[in-house]
Amino acid sequence: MFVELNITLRVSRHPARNGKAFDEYRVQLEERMSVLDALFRVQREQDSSLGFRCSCRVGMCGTCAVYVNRVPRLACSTLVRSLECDVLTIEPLPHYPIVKDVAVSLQPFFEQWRRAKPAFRPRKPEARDLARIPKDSKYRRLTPTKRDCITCGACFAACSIVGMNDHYLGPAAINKAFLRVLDPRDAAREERVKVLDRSLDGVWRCHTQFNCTAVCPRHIDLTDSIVRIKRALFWPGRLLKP
Amino acid sequence: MFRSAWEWYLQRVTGGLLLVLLVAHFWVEHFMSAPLRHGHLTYQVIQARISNPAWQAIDIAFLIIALYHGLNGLRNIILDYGRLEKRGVAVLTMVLVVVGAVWAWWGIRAFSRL
Ligand code: SF4
Ligand code: FES
Repeated sequence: MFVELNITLRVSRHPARNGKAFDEYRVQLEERMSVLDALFRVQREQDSSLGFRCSCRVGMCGTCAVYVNRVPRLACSTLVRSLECDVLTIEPLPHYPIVKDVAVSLQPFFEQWRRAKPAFRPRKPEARDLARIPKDSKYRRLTPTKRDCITCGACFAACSIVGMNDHYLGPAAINKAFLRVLDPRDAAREERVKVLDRSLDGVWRCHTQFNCTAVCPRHIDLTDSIVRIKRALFWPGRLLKP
Repeated sequence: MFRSAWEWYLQRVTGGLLLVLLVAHFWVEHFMSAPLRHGHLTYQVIQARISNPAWQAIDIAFLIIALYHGLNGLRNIILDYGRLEKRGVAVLTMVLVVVGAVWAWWGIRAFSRL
């Protein structure tokens, strides 16, 4: 049966319009519509000045993350119905500069991402044969569920340490470094480990609150990566061995 | 072990030791000594206890452990707020080391006056 939802959308406006930080819209949605569909419906039918970001619309690009009822979520992959509420409050992700309305700049996220040295640096750059990763290697065992980051920035928005400390690497960058540190083909392990061990902004600032893990749309266990890096810094021989 | 891992590790170890030492300290100071229980507590009774080298060793260890845990904890809180740059962190660490050293020396010196 065709189900219709009647929802009130409270959308944060930046800069504030007519002195109001939020605008409210009544929208009628079909059962399988997402938060992004709701935003498009408002933009097309009621207020063309509404600003938000999206690209792939299928949960692959990480562009559309917004704060929905105070939880960072991908707008395109969150069904309005699944939220089980009549009023949806949509705000820009916290911890980022706002570009317009609910669209933010991910610059702080990518600054930290760059510091974690995300690019692969091969041990044997001239090698012609394919490097094989042994089946029983730590990389193969620990990383399959951690390689799917779409750089949406939701974890960075959810992290309370990021909220206090502008220098902190943040969960996604640490997870990326974790993947590289464990990769037996990578040659820049020492450099990455130095960044991770820094007391001001490395893994030691993490308070193991699991906020990042709770919101990651790719279900990456980020806290686990951070804790494993801490353990590796404590017992270098145990994890950092290829 | 990497440098910051040491800081983290010592914070846990000193935390565990403080738990034991604090309970022991309160117990000894407030409940255990016989004169205390019988109402004959005098300066001499306390002096006799803290003149004992074994008690002195425990008290000095307690002082150093508490100072490390407290000052490193303070440093962690300040670092969490992330308002410092690299140089600021170095200065903060130096200041806390000096404060800790002076405080420890001050406490230990008190035993020489017994
Ligand atoms: S780790 Fe998850 S939440 Fe963080 S940026 Fe990647 S996909 Fe988004
Ligand atoms: S638009 Fe690409 S993830 Fe939502």
